[in-house]
Amino acid sequence: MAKTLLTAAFFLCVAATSYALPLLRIDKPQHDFGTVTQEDKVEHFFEIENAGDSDLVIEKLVPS
Amino acid sequence: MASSGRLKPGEKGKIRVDVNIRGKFGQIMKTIQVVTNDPERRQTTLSVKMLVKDLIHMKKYKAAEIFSGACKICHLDRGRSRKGHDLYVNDCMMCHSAGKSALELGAMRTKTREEVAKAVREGVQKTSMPGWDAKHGGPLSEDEIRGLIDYIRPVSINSKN
Repeated sequence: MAKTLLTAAFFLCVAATSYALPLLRIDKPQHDFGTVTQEDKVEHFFEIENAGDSDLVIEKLVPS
Repeated sequence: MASSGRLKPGEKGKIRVDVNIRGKFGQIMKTIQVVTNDPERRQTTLSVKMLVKDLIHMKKYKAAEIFSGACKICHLDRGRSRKGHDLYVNDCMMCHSAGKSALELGAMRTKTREEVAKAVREGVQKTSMPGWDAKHGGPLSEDEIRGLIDYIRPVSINSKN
């Protein structure tokens, strides 16, 4: 009986890990500052969310 | 840029983007590639755009003001310790080219050497051209002035006179 439970637990773990994935969600990936002047501070914060079920790692940001 | 490099499930974060628009104007677009461990989409593109109004060049300044303040970043500093053609490209060409306010190189070469020398040294009245030699409040040494004149109006070009 104990052996059966352990086996079941083992399979559950495998199932859980193989379906746990990070998912990056960005609702607004584009931002338009409109018209600005050279004296304005041009800064924007993009809101991001991990909509998945394991840790999302931001590995790097590459600006153009 | 990101407030945190790692987000737990359900966690929210921010990616900060700032754009340096000093000396720029017109339509500007920047993109940022976000690389994550999301297996479905390793890369996501963020983009920002803006129209930068050119306030600086619309104001009326005295010619010599290009040697100070914010103006000198583009109009003087780029050419520091450069000579001849190199100096011309960095400190003159932003005004002396097609579609800009001042004469192009070809047009200047139709002038006499004396005319060119006078304009470079003393500036041109009622225009945005300041005097570049020290006697007229300019930043260039005698050596730099001569090299510049030799480049703009070489002796080898036959004078129209």
